[in-house]
Amino acid sequence: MFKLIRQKMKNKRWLTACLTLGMTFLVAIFVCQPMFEKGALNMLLRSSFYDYTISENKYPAVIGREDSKKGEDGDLEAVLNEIDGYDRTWFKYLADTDALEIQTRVKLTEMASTGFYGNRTHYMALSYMPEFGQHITMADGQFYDSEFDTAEPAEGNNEYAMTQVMSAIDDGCYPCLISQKIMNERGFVVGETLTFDMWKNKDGEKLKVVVSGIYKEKDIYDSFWYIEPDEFKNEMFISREAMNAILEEYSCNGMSYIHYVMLDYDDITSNNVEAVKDYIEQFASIDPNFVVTFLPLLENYMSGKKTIGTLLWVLQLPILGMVLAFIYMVSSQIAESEKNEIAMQRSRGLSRFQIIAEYMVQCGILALYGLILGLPLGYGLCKLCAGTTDFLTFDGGGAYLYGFTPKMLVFGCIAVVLGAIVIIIPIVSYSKITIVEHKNLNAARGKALWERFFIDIILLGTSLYLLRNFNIQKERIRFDVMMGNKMDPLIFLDSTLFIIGFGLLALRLSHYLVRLVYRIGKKKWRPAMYASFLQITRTFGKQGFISVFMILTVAMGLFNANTARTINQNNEDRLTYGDGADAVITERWVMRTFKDTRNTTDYKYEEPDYGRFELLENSSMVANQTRVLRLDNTDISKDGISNKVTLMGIYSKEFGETANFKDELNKDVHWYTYLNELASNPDGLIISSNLAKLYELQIGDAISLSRMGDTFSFSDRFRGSMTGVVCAIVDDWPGYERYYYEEGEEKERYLVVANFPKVVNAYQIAPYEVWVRLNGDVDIEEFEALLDANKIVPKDLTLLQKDISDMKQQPLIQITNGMFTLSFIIALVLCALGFLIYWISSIKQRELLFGVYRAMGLPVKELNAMLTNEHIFSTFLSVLAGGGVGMVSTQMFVKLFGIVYLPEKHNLDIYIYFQMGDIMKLAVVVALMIIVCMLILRRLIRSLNITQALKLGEE
Amino acid sequence: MDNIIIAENVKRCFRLGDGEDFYALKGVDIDIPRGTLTILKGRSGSGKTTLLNALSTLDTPTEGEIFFDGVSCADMSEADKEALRRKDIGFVFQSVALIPIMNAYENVDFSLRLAQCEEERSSRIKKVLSLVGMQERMLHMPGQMSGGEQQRIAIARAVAPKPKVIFADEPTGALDTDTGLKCMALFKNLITHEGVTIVMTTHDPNLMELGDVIYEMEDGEIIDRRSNI
Repeated sequence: MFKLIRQKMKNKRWLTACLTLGMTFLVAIFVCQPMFEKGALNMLLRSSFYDYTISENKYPAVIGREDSKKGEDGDLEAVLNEIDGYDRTWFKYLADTDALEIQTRVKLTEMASTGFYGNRTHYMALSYMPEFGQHITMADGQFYDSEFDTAEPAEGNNEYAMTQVMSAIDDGCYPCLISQKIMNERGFVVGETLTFDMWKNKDGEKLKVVVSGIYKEKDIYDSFWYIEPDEFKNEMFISREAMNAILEEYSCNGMSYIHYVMLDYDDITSNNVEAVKDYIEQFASIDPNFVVTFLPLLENYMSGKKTIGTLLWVLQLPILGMVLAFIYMVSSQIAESEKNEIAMQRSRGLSRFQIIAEYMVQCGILALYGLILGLPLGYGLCKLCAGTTDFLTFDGGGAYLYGFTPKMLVFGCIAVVLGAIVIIIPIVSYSKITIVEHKNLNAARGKALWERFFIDIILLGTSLYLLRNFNIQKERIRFDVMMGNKMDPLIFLDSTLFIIGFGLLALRLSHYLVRLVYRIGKKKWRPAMYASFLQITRTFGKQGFISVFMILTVAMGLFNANTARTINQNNEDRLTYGDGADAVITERWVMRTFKDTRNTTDYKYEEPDYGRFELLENSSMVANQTRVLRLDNTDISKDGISNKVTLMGIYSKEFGETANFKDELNKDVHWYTYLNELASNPDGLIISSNLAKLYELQIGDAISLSRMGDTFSFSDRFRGSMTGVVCAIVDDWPGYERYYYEEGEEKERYLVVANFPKVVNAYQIAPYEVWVRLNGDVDIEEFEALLDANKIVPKDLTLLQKDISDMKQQPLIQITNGMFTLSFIIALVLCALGFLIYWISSIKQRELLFGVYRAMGLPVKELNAMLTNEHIFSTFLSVLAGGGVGMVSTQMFVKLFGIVYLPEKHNLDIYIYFQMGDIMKLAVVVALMIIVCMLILRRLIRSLNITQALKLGEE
Repeated sequence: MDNIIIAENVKRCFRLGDGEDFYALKGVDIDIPRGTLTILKGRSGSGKTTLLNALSTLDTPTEGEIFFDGVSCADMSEADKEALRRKDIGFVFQSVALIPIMNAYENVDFSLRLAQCEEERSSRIKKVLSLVGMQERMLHMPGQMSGGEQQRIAIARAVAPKPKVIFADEPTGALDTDTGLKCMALFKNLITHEGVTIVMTTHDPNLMELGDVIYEMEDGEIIDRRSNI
């Protein structure tokens, strides 16, 4: 039996090879699922931690404890031991998950009280942090303690101040270090002494500390500075000995401590994330003082996991359906060519089971091949598509997160079982019939099932009904996506339903068209045309399958390409709009406090040298730069209604040259028109249309804006007011995002744009952004080196190029690009192969017929014309129909998809993008496929031997 | 007598798999009188079909010459032969070989289109279909007809373009005796009404008497010629 099967498979080696290929692809797609899911989930975790770091500017994976101790419990050593005890308990349990590496431990213990310096009262804390000295440098002064040996004295110390420090220490003061922030905001200097009234020793002497130095961080990126130096607004750092001595001698009524452990979040993976989350939730539930920063991240991950799982299946389903259809098609061809043999076997008394069993053995062999080839192919394809940065663009970026998982073997086995079932289906139906029934059946073959039962109309109607409902519920879907609720997979599947339904309808219509063309010229058709039209119309049911396959491949290929392009490009557009320029740089400005004329403390910013930025233009990387002063806490008030507005101060010409903005925004009025209005009117204001609507403002109306202080300590301080005249009303503006979300609620921002000098005159200079236009794509590291060379140290650096590349690494975008690319490649390969198989086997089956044609005197060139006509009216029409279906479904569904990927309301509506390149790629493959097919067919026909062909009929 | 086909010393050699030459026809001389039913009889493998293929220009002899209506086939180009088969030759194959995607009417119509028939095709189709007694079933597909009915359609298709000669290779091979005899009667009828010449092969001894000229073949040679004219 095995010999017979081997011989059969060898005889039909091309069809067998195609079936093996189908099985291989099926296994590959199936095994991609768990691998892609695992990788995407790891990527989701990474990006959650990364996004948190960017948005909060904090290390993301921190657990810890914050507590306070009273009276006699306030012993430093006891507190430090207690901290270590907790630490050990946590890691004893967390070790069960997988060893979590620890990056850094930060321990801070402190006692806080009010103290007096000069004639002012300050609320201060005496603090101790182990290893503090190893992470600081001295900006001024020095610290006298063995533990701080590594903190070298500052260069150029003021000798007078140091003498004061020495004499204060001699007087029993404890030396301490303060941050530059405290120095600037509270006006403390080295050598100053602070007295704490509340803390006295047994002799009744008050506790005194002397500022012996000003510290600054050695390295701002050091994870030790989880709490940044600027956040230490009250802390005066003392040594361990001093802390112990103070606790022993002075009547301090308690102390508090903070203990943070920074975990290496690379160790938290999709394998252990749930266990980590469980343990951390348990710690938090039994200990109210337990601190964890990343529990919301893990919760977001859990809801993202559901979305990713659903999305992967939903994106895979169409291509999975196509591969199964391909297998079915090839298997049907095999069954068709072996139908006589099957019918004969049945007539000779073989049971159905025996016939099916014979094919099952073949399936087993194919399944084995499929598994052996499919597993590595799936792994390779997944790695390839995991490295996509755009549709059909690979750079291998995130691919390292994707690796083998044992689940792949299970999925591979499921795939081969499914494939085997699909292979057997046509055999089962053929095994029912004997040779007599088979001949009768041949005569009765009619319309395809879908055509008879109007499946196309039903599918199309259902999909349109669903689409209508989704469109009505757009807002709810948007909200659900933003809330992280489970995504409705029907949103995606609906488009597949539509493509299948519309594809079948297009096929039905193309069939009517062929009939119409045939009827129009029925009397006049040349024999070849006559025969070919009859061939197309009479074998429509049989040929329909390859036509459906062609239509669906082209339609889905186009739809997938357009969807991916639209999602990517809209994301890019929004980032480009939101960032405002190619690079936005904010430096750290020094805020100085001073006494004003009424002897109240006021502040002002020291503007860093802007000349350094102007020098950037000397580099080939930079085209333009400009200052943009963006002030969020500005108020507009009219008729008792007050609102916050974002005030933007700009230099209009430079701004126009530097900012990124689409010309077609603002209802097609070029934005330079508004910049010109502003430039010609020093008091002019450009306002956003929502602000104009809210206050019923028109061009020419005067408005007044007031502004309070910048920082918490000066937030109640009035900084000034500004009056201007509305010179333009705009919907959109570079960097102005109208909508934002707070606690799940959608809110609107209002914008006022004024000339830079006018804003500075009204409110004084404040930290501004420097917007930079770059000359095309630049190397990010080179740009940072350029900033460094010009002594520019950004506090915040927004690089559009980096934002776009980060966006493309987001799991949802990444898997969409990856899956669409994967589907596109597989669809193209299958389409090309499916097409060739169909045509070659169709010619082989028609060999007798061609022999008859040739015997009757039909020349070879007429036979070729006949096949060309068949290609035009079946293949070409199918490709055209597929293209049409793809474009129509893009127009109808892609905006709906956009909501899933870009749920936030935005100034920029979702715009549908398609790239001619994708259409060209598809067209080239289809054209190549047709050309190769035609060449093969011509060769087959040329080599046709009439008498041999006629003999076929006698057999 | 006026011969429409004359074959002189026709040989047909096939190269076998082992490199040896096999002569299926070993120098056949034959003439086909116009307006007759000529039968080539012989056992299976005697060379009947090979001779028929050579006479009908489907195959080219290795040696010898065939004259069709006075013109040497050796002087004809492939296009001339195709034109000859379209206009002057009709075929009825053993395998019936109706075009399965065309109904009876269209099968006949196809041969008329091939022959670039100038007259009104529809009436001609109906006429030949009624001649073979199949007018009632002209819209039926081949799969919906019995073997005998299909053969009658094949005959109608062959005769429709008014060819000079119809070649029929074992036309009754797949038919029962009764249907076979009806088919032969039909051939006789066509010769009378359409003036066509028919050359057919058969191994059925019951049909021999119905032929006007009977050639008997054995091992690629004519071993006997009988005439009932």
